[in-house]
Amino acid sequence: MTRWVLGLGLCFLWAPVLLMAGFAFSDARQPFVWGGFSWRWFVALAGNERMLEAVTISLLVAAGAASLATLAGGALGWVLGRQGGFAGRGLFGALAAAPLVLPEVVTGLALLLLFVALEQVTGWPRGRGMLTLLLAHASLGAAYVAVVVQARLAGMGRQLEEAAADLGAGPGTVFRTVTLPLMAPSLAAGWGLAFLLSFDDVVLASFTSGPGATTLPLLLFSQLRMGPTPEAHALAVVLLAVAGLGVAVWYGWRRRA
Amino acid sequence: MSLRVEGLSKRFGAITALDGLELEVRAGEFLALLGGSGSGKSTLLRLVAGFEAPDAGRITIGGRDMAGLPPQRRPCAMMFQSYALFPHMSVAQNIGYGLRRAGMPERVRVEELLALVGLAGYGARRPAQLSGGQQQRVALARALATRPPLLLLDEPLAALDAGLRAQTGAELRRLQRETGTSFVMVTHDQAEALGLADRIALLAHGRLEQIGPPREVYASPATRFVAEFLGAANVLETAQGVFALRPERLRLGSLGRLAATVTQVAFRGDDWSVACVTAAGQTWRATLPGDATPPVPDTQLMLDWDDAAMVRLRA
Amino acid sequence: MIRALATAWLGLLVAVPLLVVLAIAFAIPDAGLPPFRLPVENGRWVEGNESWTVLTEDGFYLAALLRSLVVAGATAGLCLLLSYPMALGILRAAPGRRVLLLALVLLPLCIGFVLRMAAWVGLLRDSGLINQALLALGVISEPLPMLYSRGGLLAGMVHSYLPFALLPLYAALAARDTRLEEAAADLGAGAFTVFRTITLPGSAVAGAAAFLLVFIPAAGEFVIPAILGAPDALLAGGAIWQEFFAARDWPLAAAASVALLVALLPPLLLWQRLEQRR
Repeated sequence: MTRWVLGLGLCFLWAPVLLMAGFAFSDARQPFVWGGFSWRWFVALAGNERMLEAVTISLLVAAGAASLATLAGGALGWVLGRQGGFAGRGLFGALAAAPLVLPEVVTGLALLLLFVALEQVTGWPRGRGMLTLLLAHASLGAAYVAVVVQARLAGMGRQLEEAAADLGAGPGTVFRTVTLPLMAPSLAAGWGLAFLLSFDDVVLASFTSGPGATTLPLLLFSQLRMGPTPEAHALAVVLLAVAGLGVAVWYGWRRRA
Repeated sequence: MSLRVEGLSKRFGAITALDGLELEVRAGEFLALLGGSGSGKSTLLRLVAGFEAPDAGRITIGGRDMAGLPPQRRPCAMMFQSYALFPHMSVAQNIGYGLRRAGMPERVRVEELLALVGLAGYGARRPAQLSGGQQQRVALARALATRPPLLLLDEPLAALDAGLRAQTGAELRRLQRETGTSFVMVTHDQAEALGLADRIALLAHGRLEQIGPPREVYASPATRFVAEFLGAANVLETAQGVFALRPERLRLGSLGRLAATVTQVAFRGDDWSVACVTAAGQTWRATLPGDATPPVPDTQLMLDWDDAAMVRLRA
Repeated sequence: MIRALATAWLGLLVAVPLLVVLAIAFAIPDAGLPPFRLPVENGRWVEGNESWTVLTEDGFYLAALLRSLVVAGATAGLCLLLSYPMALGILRAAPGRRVLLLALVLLPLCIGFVLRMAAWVGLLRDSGLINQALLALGVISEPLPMLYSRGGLLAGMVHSYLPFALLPLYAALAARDTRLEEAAADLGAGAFTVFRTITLPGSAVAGAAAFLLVFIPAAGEFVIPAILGAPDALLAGGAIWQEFFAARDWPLAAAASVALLVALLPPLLLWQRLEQRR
């Protein structure tokens, strides 16, 4: 029985996506209307400078935010996973998890108000743009990285670190030679997760981005309300192809190893 | 190097793991820490190694007080029950870890150790590629690499199957003799303790029950606990005192001192184990040689023994 | 030292912003940039903040909040209903295939949130695919109004939030002890009974956590309702957005955010308690 539901569920997830991808090859201007096979929207996409610029900005912000989030989230996860009870640990844990659970409207509004207040008091940051957006995305990503790292550390147990200390390694050396290498896969997974979250985000970007830092989701969101954009559907196909290729490569590499 | 533990206490919440323990390990000796679960033997090891701090008491190694010293500064090395080999390093890198930390030359010593534990040529492999017995030997080599004067072993043979256990136990003994390191081995297996150690220390409820050479502890148990734990002795309470009687010193027949009914007879290869119940409801065990004819269950018979076989117990 | 840096991060980017929201909720709307004035002049409190009275007296916002909670509850419930059998289905597959199935669940996410919703618009609208197909087949004579309806909104919400319920539930079910279920079957329980009496209670904590992990963020969702929902049935997130961007009443938007957070406080605390239990 579960097989049926799984199949239905996967169909539910994929049907809209596949249909959109299929009709991206349609010659018609209206979406989801078949007008004969054509590559024209892919060509149009390649020439759409606004869209390409938005993609670039999204990629840059996502990479930057993911890297910052990995650093911060790694530290958060390590503190929560390896440091025993300390004063305020409950509050620390709650704040670390907050961006995960709170509605993005609230966190977006809160961060924007923070940036405005900071600007009033210190003069920085001057207006909103890529930097504020990067910080906002990093804040969200760090919460996710912290969860992944904390889970990994909990599953790892302390024996290996105790063994290293027993063999003469000081706390810094234990971290460098044992803890960090073992944490590395979860840090990488966290980076990927933070990257995807940033690349796909609409709400936080609406609040904390600014002129000149229009990300791809922001562009699509504004265009969506205005009318059909077949180039966007072509973009969906490209993204799907790239991601699908990435998964295939990773899967094949895993099988080999 | 010698180890001395004085008045050592440790509590975990409501549970008292160690209760004023006093113990001394002589330099160059192989001491077995024997006890059931909850006796405190693993806790003692962790306190000596420095992974936890005692609530009360003192730990001295080689005359030096270990109070406040973190594990990396203590002159002892630990072999973990789970081996705790670093999965992201090769066997050679694992063994050389302590050497690298101490700034000692690595290559020659690692080769030496690999040969010592019979794993020459395995240096480039990863721990995941080794069998349980091989991993155990790498863990041992790693602990011995910097020639620590005191080695703590936490149930080193527990994860091995029976045949390998005996052989590896003998190798441990040989290594200990050759290197002259003091070994403190925690085990719950009495055959291991009796066979390998210079002295056995029995722990119960966080306290030392008895310490001495294997033959002495076996033949002359001081307390009821030691008598029952080591060799499953029968306990006889008379007006003159409490005595222990080993199963192999009992005789079964029609004449004797104590009447009993046979409940169970089990063949163990080397011998027969006969369990019977006395009129008072106490279960007594006797051991008969393997070629003897054992009694049948539900038989009524008499248990007898020599006076010399009675060992007076203290408590 | 690391802890100090981590605390500074949390303080600056999580704690302070939330405090600022609380502060602005008491500010006075203004025409300038930024569009509010702090309610303190010469060290004395200034009247002029109406946010709280508007929130509590105007039934509009209360209705929006209630509607959000209902929609979020329905979304979380449907996600959980789908996630359980899907997760179990993936776990029943051969170990090598499980990764593939998980990748299949996650791949649609990569074309981006906005495009996925655009796909739903294309499917559900009067001239969309579903209506086209139904008309062509002769099942209906007039297009069904699916877009901007409750059903359409739910479809989009579930489509968006399903992976957020599926992944943690999958992780929890993967770690469970299947021998308990084998024991139950051995004692005579049928498949559904095993699920009802062993699997479900055993994973209750994870299930509840997954429910809340969808419910709490979904309560503040506004993009999906903006694209797929009815314009007159405003939800809390939409109300906050409107007040902030359209009406430029930042104090009211901040106050509405605080109200939303207060409404979500019980589920939030419950979620924290559940996480600690695991």
